[in-house]
Amino acid sequence: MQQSLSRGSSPLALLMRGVSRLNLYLAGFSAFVLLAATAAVFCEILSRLFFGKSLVWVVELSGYSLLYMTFLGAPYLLEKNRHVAIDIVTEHLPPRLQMPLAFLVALFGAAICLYAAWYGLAVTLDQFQYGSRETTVLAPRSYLLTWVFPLGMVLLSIQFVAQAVACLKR
Amino acid sequence: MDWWLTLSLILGALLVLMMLGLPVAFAFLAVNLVGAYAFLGGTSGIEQLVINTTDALTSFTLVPIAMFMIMGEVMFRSGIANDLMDTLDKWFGKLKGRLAFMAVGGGVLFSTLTGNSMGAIALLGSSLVPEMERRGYKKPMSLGPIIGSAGLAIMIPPSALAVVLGVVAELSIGRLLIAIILPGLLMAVLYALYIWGRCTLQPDLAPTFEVQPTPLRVKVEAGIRNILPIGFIVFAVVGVIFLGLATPTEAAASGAVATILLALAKRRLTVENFRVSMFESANISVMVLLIVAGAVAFSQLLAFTGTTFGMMDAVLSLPLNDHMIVLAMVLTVVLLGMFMGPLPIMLITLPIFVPVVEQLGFDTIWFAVLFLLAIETGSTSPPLGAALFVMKAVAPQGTTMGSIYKAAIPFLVCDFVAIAIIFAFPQIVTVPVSWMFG
Amino acid sequence: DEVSLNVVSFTPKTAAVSAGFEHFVNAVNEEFAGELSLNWRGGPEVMPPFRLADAVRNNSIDMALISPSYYSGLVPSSSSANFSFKNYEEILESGYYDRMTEIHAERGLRYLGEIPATDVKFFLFFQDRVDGIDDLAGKRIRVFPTGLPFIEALGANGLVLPIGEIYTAMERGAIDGFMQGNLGWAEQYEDVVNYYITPPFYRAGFSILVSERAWERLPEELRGELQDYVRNTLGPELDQSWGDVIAAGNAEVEAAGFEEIALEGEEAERYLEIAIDAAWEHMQEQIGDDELTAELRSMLVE
Ligand code: NA
Ligand code: NA
Repeated sequence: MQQSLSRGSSPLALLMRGVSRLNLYLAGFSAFVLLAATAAVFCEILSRLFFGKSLVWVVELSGYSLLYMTFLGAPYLLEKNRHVAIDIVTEHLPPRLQMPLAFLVALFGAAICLYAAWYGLAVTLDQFQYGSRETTVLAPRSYLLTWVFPLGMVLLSIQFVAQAVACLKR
Repeated sequence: MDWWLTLSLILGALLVLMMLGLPVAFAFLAVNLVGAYAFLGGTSGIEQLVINTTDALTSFTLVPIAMFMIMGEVMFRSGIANDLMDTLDKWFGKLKGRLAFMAVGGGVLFSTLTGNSMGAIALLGSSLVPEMERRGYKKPMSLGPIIGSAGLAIMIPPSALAVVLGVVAELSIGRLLIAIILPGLLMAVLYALYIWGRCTLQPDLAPTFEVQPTPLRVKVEAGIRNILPIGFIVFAVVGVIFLGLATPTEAAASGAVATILLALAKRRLTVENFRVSMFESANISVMVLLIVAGAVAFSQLLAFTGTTFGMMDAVLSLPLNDHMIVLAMVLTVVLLGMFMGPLPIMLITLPIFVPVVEQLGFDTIWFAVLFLLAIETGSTSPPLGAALFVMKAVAPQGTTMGSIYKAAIPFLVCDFVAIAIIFAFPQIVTVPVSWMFG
Repeated sequence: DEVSLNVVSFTPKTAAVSAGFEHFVNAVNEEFAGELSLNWRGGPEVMPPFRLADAVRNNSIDMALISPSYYSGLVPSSSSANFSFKNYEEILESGYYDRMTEIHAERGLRYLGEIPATDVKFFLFFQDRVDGIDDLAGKRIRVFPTGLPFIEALGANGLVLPIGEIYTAMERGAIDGFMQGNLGWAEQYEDVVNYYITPPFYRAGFSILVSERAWERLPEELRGELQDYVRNTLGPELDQSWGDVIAAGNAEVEAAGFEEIALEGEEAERYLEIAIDAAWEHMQEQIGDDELTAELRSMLVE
């Protein structure tokens, strides 16, 4: 659907190709994070079994990995139009209504993601300046976790705009 | 504002956005943004929403969903699932709906492994559905049995949800874990009966074929080669829990590692297969987790508004007899289960419902079992049941939400039948408990 | 005009420790009837407990009733309130609460006071018998982060597991025991717990945090009255109010058939000493200011 945007060599097309590449890399990174988390939890089991020692950081880190996975992997899935949506109403609409509706919904999606990204950024910066930490064993700086939220939301917002533009071109 | 007005505004907005085709996760996000602004002090509320959303995801209890996803993907892409079904065809080729039965059987089996129905759908959906469809199974018989039986995860121990229910409602966890087993099996039997009936009436839903008479030796060989190794995977999950080597959440990781090892041993795991499996597991987990994060924040907002309390008060003040009040409570939980996560439902309703049940003189363990069943039912109810969204995420691309709803409804009816049977015959719950605990 | 504040607690309304919160909310509503009303919206179902202090800080809720160890990420010295064997009035006299008010203010939080629970303490619970302190080495014990230093100082292995996992982990022997208060859960775990160690250690006390925006809404005079009432009148009263809750908790422990492993004399002293020393050593690292740590420690520990 977004191919029309990234075709050609206009600056916009180049930008969209770059964004698309970034989305793919982030999705790949998200898969890597999942693999690492699985390996870590498995190591925790082995460590208790063979060395009688619990790796206290595993529970915490595998939780963080879910957060990273989700916000870094979400833009790629939107680009591929794979996020779970309820299609029972839209698929029965007459085709001449489907396009405008999809356009409006995509614009709306772009707006809410951008809005969320803005406040996500505000929270991240605040946590950075304030120096807040997680209340856990490892107690990492909170902004090290929160930053993926605005990043993911901005990329999602860009992707929604691309969807809207694609609707117009059709 | 009256509770029902607030509730219908919030839910209405959510439903409208979803029906317009905005992906579920973003519909939650939109409603959460407006709700947080309205109820939590303007833009401060939005900031808190960011914090709560990220908090919802940094949760170890969600980890198994992603890891069961790996198991399912690797089983599918390395052909382990395919071998399993080939073998079943050799043995039971003429049995109508054999793969649907297998899904229920798998549901029961994996529900002894996991305490988490989303994880069970992730596993069974990704490993079985593509193969079932390739073998000509239609959606009602490929998606349905998995949606139905994955919910058994919380009805058969270990069940993290039953444990949490015991903690919140202050009931003996040991008794509760015994009490849920028979109702869980009852549900499995009802599902199997339905599959048998439907496949008899509509044979094309689950095609059979003439099996070449296979010598027993071949059958046994295929069994040893293709079914026995599944036992290794099962052991890696359930065995390690039983031996106390891992907690139920950790066991998902050893299951994933065991599946990868098995695929390697069978020389089926190419680098490419493995890469795609991991990429797809991550993708599907992301879709599911993004919805979960939205739903958690949504539940918190609803709880904050107090509408859920208003709803409960209204139910409890209905002019009904004792039995009907209990039934009304159970139905309320089904209703809440359609759009709220299990934990907030428990925290909101149990402290009020359980004393009422006690006061009316009913067995609280019996009520707790009905409660769990109701949550399970709600989570598989159209249009918003979370389990259905998980199925949409794992089902082959092009599967419509409508076909998932259609597949889920008969199994929902089975759930209601199970609720009715347990409601009418509390002995199903009380007898095994008194037998075990004297 | 009556000011209404939204209150959220870190535990569910019906949890045993919430008895103190109910007492607090009712007392304030009665004392300041017509001027101030606290609207207790709920617990974890409304706001994730570890994010409650953030919510007060950014003004999205007005007041939080929260264990100090749940926001040590915002105020590193907050959990110090647990590491003491003194009662409320002794701590009040030491000036600790005034000092905490300053420390919270430096971190942009308003600390109204504490809902003290001197007699609510922590225990180690086990499935199998343990014989004394030295037997604890190598045991796998589920803890919350605050308790980890003590467990490690005992030579045991601390695990941080979700609450829903404790039962199965105990039942299957993935853990040998866990650290917990003794209020209102014993009967649910009767099948997997058989022993607990006394003497209990530490103390409980719950911070009352008020958001800046809510504080501004209170008339100047009311602020002073409220703080004075909470610290000097209600505090001692709340500290004494746990009798019934604790008795009920003890009765449950007894009904569940848990057997006490009582450490005696020197061993009991050593046990408590390890608990306090390990905690304060960790506090020192966490606070990163030796002078402040020493000051707080001198207020809380003899
Ligand atoms: Na289970
Ligand atoms: Na079901």
